[in-house]
Amino acid sequence: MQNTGRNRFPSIPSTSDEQLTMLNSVGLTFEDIISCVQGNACVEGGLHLPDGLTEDQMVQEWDTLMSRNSPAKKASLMGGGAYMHFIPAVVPHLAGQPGFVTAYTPYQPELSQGTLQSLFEYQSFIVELTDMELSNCSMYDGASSAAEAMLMAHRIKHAPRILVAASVNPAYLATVRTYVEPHGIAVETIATDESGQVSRTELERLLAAGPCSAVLVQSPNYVGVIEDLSALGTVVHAHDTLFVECFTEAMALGLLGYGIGTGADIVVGDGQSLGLPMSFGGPHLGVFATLKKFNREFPGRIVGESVDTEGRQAYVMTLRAREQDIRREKATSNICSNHALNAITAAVYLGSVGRAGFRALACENAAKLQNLVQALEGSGRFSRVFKSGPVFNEMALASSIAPDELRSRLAPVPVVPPLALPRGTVPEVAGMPYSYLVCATELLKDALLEQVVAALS
Amino acid sequence: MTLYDKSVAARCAFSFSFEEDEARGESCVPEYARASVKALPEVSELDLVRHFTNLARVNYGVDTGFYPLGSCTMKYNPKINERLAADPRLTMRHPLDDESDNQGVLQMEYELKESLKEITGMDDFTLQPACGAHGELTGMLIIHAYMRDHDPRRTRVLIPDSAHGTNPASASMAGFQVVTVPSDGRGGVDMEALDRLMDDTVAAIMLTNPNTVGLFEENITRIAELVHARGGLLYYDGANLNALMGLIRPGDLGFDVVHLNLHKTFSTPHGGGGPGAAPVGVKQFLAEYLPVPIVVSRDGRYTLDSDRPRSIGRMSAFYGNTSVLARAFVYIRMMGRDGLVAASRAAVINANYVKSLLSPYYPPAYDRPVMHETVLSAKGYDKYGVSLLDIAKRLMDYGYHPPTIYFPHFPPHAEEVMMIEPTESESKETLDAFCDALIKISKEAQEQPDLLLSAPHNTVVTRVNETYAARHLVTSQRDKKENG
Amino acid sequence: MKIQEDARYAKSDEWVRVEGQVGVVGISDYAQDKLGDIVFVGEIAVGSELKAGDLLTSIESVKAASDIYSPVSGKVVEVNSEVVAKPELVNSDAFGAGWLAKIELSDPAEVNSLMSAAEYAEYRKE
Repeated sequence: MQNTGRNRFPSIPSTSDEQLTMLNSVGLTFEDIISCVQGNACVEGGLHLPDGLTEDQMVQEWDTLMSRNSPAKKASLMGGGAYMHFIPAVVPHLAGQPGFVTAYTPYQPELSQGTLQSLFEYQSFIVELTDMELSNCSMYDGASSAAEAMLMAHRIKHAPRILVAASVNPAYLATVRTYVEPHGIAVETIATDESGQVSRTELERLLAAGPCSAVLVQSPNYVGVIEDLSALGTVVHAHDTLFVECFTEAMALGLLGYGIGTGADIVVGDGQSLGLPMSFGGPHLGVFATLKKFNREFPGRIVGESVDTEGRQAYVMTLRAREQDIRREKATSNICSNHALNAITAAVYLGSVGRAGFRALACENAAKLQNLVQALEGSGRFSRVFKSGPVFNEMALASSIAPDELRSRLAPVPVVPPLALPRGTVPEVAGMPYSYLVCATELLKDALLEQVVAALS
Repeated sequence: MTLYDKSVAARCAFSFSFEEDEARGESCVPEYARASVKALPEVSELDLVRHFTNLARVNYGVDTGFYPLGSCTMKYNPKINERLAADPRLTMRHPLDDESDNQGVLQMEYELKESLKEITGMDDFTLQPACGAHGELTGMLIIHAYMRDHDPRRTRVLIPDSAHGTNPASASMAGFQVVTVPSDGRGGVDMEALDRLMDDTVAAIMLTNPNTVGLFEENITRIAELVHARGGLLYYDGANLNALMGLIRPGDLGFDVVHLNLHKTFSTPHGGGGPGAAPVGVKQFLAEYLPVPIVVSRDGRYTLDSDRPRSIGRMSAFYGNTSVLARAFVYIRMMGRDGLVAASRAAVINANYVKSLLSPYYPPAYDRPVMHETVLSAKGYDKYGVSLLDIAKRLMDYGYHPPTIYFPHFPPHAEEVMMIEPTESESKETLDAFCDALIKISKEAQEQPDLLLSAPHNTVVTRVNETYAARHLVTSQRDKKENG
Repeated sequence: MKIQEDARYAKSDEWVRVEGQVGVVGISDYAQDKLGDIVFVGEIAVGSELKAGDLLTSIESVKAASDIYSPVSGKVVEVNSEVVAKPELVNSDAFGAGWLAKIELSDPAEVNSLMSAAEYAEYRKE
């Protein structure tokens, strides 16, 4: 405390006089209370941290720090797991209300109907978008959702192998490995064919080689190609294995089919595109949906509809007996806090764009990529890596332009440059030694698209 | 009413200049992949605004009132944190963009990591885990990988019976078998039992300190010596760090791995169930096992290091919950050296004050000074037919969020106990008024128990039937439609 | 606390009533009361061979989950499908309509090592 007597920290209301009064009431000094820690290594001479800052000083320091980032762009040609989309003003406004933001997990439903009903609506939207029967109220991100799906499949099928398409986002594959390998589950990858899709022959061969708990396929896959999920699902089910569908670009849910219609047992993915900024990779939104027959096996929290003592409709967390606080080491997962506020954000976003808007946005994304790719191919310096593989809003392109040159050419254009793929990620195209994963969203307006094409021609 | 109930075909809350027609977009994807239009609601912008504004209004948060939820550290979330974390120069960063474009955000993460090292006495940190349980899993996977390389016989993990359920769930998810260690009569780890259980099959012990009853583990140094002497490691669950900042550091006590819930001690909001963030700190000999990538400083530039062959791998697609980390960065920077110490001091005084005011009515589970939270018993009211749950629900009528009251698997001597954590954010007046309410309720329990049994009365809904929800499972609008 | 006189009891609160070669198995009234409102009874496979003490199924209430062990050895010959559809039967009639499975006893003498009703009543005396 300063000598002026005024409190130095706005977030600590008690004055030194009040603290004394409280201690007198307790009948102990502060030193008495903390004497329990004595005999252990205590901090001598305080922490080696700088002095605190006032709010105005903090704003200045923050500004200095953030000015070391390049300025925010208008659109992103980079995807690969994080996508720049338009976020309507109502979305952060409504999801950012203190009632949602400063609440804890809704353990007391009478005081948490706002969070609970919003999450119920989120679950409802995810059930529709993924065409599944049951959605939890979120996981951390797409990669951890995929990893949890593999553990869940292993709990159900007990087979010590899982198959993951080689075309799954490499960070997702790495996360799956981190989660499953300590349990002695082997991860094998399924090669892609010349169209960029999962090779069905390879899938058949690996399934025939021995029992598997799950097959994980991403669509559109890492290099942008849309998979024939129904066909793959049929193959997988013929081998008593669970079929897990994955997406990194939730905007694709507006145009592409997933779920029961394509034979999925679990659908996982990342919901960042549903009204959440990229935020340098987090917090995003783990989507996790499955079938009702697995309602004792899935991880994460779920909200159910119920009634109060007067018969009024009310919401409450349900199927709680799967969870860590009840079942401890036998729980379906250790997850407790999830990304609830981001799930609410996604619910607001989907409510905002609505049925028609979401479809139109998805179609706009698909068309934008086609426009961009046609124009880039027209320049003669880019070529599709997979000629026949269908795509949504991302695609692998080969180019004669090297990454450094590409970045400097795009420097004057307010877009994030496309992701340069390491050599060997996709097949080489003759005369074009470099390859990129190029993404186009609704934010790539025609004028901006022309600037991009001009800079790269 | 859900948003679906308010939907009217052709209404719209969204305007955007579409340049293409839908048929063109649909033609881009093959027939076999195409889905029909999904059933989302159609509402006007004002419908949407009123819907979610009214939902937020019926939600109780720290900004609404006192939220003494034990072990959850529901402290005030400073608004400057929210404002700075929403800076588009942060939120618009693509995680895979060139490092030269991201120097500011990488520096922020690096400086946060350095602060956390100092606060905890650990040697290195990952910022990747998304919340406490994710941090625990990360920490236990690090121990699993270390033991795989050094002593693969060690496949078991010791966890006190007072631990939060996440600890055993995380240990099990990391591939360990869980062994429970009983508590002694003073609420700490039973040293004799520990001595018996700590053999060469044990990889680690997971401890929360102060533990979940708010007590500092007095034998902590002896525990550390015993476990280390027999080849085990010590895991520190930092969910309850709020009492200890600047007083004692887990690293100095001998802990090898620690996770911190930034949404508890470091004031980032909980969001009704996340997103949080839970950096994991380790001693130097475990640093090579941290998940990739790790932010490091090289020649005055900040960079993400992925070249770590012994790393456990990745815990998520990118580098952690950056905008949550940013809030904690701002909090630590503004509080500074003295502020963190002052916060812990105020939190400890507040908890002991509440304990002293309420003890005559709700006796403490253990009669010792507490750290940041206190555990009090309502067992005495069962003779009036009133349970702790009834007392908790009645508190809502007085305008307070109840303390933590659920302790599945808790030691039997602590049945019907509530865990109150006032945090440093609350003033003496608030604590006095809250204690007055609990004292009034203790009188009501004796004189008008029905008032408690039927509570809450002043909330938007009365008690919600959990059994009905579980027996008639409706978890989406689709279920509702199918049930008619 | 209700006690079924003609049943034998395991320490983990399951009961068995012998009907010829078959043992009818359930959980005790004490156990259902401790669990609270039961919302789920897990699947039991007809035909599975169990030893006394093997996991039979699991039961969930709103606030707890409990593993149920077979008190006797033998083959599961019948499962109470009604209790799967209406788990509340375990609460309302633990010794009657709330039975879980019928097990063909491979060692009928085994039940003698379980507690009698009187012994169980003493064991679970509050």
